[in-house]
This record gives sequence, C-alpha cells and structure tokens, in this order.
Amino acid sequence: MSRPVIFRQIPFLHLFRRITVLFTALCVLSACAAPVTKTAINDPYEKSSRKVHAFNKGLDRALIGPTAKGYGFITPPVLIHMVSNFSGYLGLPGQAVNNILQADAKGFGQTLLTFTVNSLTFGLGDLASEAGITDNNADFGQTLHVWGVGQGIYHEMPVLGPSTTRDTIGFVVDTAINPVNLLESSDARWAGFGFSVLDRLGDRNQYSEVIEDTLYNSDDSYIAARSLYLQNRDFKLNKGTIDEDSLEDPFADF
Amino acid sequence: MPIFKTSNRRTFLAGIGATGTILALPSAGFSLTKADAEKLINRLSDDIFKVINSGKSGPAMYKDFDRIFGKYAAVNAIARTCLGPPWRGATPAQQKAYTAAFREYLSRKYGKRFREFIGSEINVVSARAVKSGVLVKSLVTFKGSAPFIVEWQVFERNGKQQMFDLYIEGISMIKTEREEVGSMLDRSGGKVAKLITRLKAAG
Repeated sequence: MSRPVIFRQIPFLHLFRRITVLFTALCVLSACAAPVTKTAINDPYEKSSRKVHAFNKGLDRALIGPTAKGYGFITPPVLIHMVSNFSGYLGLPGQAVNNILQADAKGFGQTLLTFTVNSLTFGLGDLASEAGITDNNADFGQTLHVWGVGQGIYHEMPVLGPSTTRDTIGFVVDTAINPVNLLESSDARWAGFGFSVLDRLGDRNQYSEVIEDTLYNSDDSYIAARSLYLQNRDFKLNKGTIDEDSLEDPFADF
Repeated sequence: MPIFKTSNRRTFLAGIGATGTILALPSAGFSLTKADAEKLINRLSDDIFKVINSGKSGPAMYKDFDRIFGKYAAVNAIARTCLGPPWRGATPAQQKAYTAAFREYLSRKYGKRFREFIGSEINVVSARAVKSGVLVKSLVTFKGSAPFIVEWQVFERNGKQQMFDLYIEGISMIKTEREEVGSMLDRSGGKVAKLITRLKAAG
C-alpha cells in the first residue's frame, strides 16, 4: 500500500525516486550547505539543464503542444473544467497533509472547506472557488520551505519542466501521498494518472499564448523559463504575497 | 483710519492664507496615499479593459496600449531599469532610441498578455505601503476558476503618480524584461545599437 508498491507499479516514479536521491546527494554536497542569497540563481548545471530544456522544447513542439490543442479543440470547455476540477479535488487530501505539516490552521480550514463544498459535485465542480474560498495549493516543496530547507539547485526535469531540488523532492513526496496512488487497484491508479495528464494538457492549452511566447518568442527561452518559474514559485511559497524586499527601486540610478 | 487699519490686517491675514494654500498644494500631492494609488490603478485597469473589450485587431490594440502605457507608466524609469548599468555607457541618442524601441516592444508583449484577459473581470482589492510607494493588489477573475493576482507598483515623482512595475501571479514585468533585455544585449555583443534593432523585431 505504501510507496514501494507505487514505485514498482508506475515505472517512471521509480525513475523520479532515483533522480531525487541523486539530487538530494548533490544538494547535501553543494547547494544546501552554502547559504545562497535570494537574488542569486543557483544553476551550476546550466549546461546539462539546457540540454533537457532543448529536449522538452522539442517534445512540446512535436507532441505536447499539438496534443493539448487537439484536446482543447475536441473537448467541450465544460468537460475540460470538470477534468481540471476533479484532478485538483484528488489532490486536496495531500494538500491537507501539507497544511498540517506546515502547522497552517487557516490553510487546513480552507482545504477542508473546499473539499467539503466540492464533494457536493463529486469533485467535478469548483463551487468553493465560485463562493470565494481561496485555495492555498500547499505542496510538499512549500512544506520543506516552511521547515527551512533551502531551494537547492535549479534544473529542468524531462517532460515536467522547470524545478528546484526542493520542488523535485516535493513532487515525489506529493505523488506518493496522493490517495489515488495508494489505492489497491492499479486501474484506479492509472485513471488518476490519466486525469493529471489531461489536467496538464488543459493547462497547456489554456495558457498556450504565454507558454509559446516564452518557449518560442523569447530571446533565450531557457533563461525566460527559469526566470518565470522561480519568480512564480517564490510568490507561491510566500502564499501569494510579494516579498517587499524583492521590489524594484524606481529611483535606482545607474 | 481705523477702517484702513482693519482692511490692512485683513489683507495681511488673507496674504497668510494664500501663502498657506500655495505651500499646502505641493505638499498635499507629495505623499502618495494608498487611496490615490488605488484610484490610479482603477483608472488604468478601466482603460486597459476598455481596449481589451473593444474588439479591435491586435496591432490596433497595441497602439492603444502604447498610449495607455505612456499616460500611466514611468516609461523612462522602466526602460532604464531593464537595461541596468549599460544605460550609462550609451550615448544620449542611443538612450532615446532604446527607450522608444523598448516602449513599443513592451506594448506589443504586454498587449498580448492583457488580451488573454478577455472575458474576465478586474477588481482592485487592496493596497499596501512599501518603501518606494504603494503596491496595489487586483484580482482578475474568469468565471468558474480561481482568480489571478495582478499587483501594480505605484510611486510618485515630482507630484506625479506613475506605475512602475506590474506583477502577474508574482512575476514581475521589470525582472522578466531585464533578463530578456540582458540576453538580447549578450547576443548583440554588448552593443546597444544592435540591441535596439533586436528589440524592434521582438515581442
């Protein structure tokens, strides 16, 4: 029932665990040991990360982008919303665990309320959002941040894209604690996996303009993707608040 | 005589009053309040959404965004900050040409971003004082999904309130464009003249 079973059943998860072990080792050796200033980007393996980026870009151009657009084209928007809502709904128990690990009572209340309200639609609707209940999207990467673990090394994961050591570990843990992946039936686990893939395709379709602008229109798409990811991630780690110290100074003189 | 004296005193008092008013005028506009900044962003976002909902074509919209940008934003300060130290190494003519090219580039790029807000609704929800001004928070809501947080950094210079930076879900326009302009400059061999040509083709 526990993690080893999942890793045996879904081969790429096993791979992720290996990657995580590797990155943890790297992290202990270098990144986490040395204090990193907030503005400095910790990307010592940029050269190899750029190769993964090129691979991801090729994959997006050849497969993911067109598939996402096809999915967006043939699927009624209502259904796309339902898939996305349901995928989010399945993640709520894991989110609640992270709220607890972060000792975030308010967040836990929000998650519980969201789960209760959205259960009325079997997770297919997002009544909670419509009622103005803010979602906190807590994840294990954020939990590690709350515990004081540093960001580690920036890298791109094959297929999944930009991440940091902390977020990659977070991703593996979140996958492991997702109740769908703890189910007995492998069919149910694959169905859960299918929903998360469709959810991602829906996002790729919905944000196609900004994604394509970043990947195909920016001067250096590796740097653009890295900048967007790290800025947005910082914002989420700070629970949707901009750190005042990070603001630009309009009176700066060069 | 007594009448004359009184009127003289009145004139004197009126004089003090007038001086007070003159002195009070610049200082009244000197400290940017949260309410002022919210008002500015309300007007700015109204203007942006009018353009989005106008049904105009892309290029026509970018022209409108360029006008709005010039009206509300500190274009020179934004352009300078995105270029950083190389600004100093540029000639005044290059600085001018760079600022003009950068402004058009920004109108195209962020015009595209704003166009994605079509069908949504924007509301200013709060403001907080920060070191260099006020950060105004707004929510962009699409029906049936969680809202986007868009924040606007407003500052005041010479009594004029202007928008400086824009954050969409924590992603700063200035930070993002500084990286972009930086990599364009790298590829231009550090030459500002070549950077200007690149900017004109980008976005």
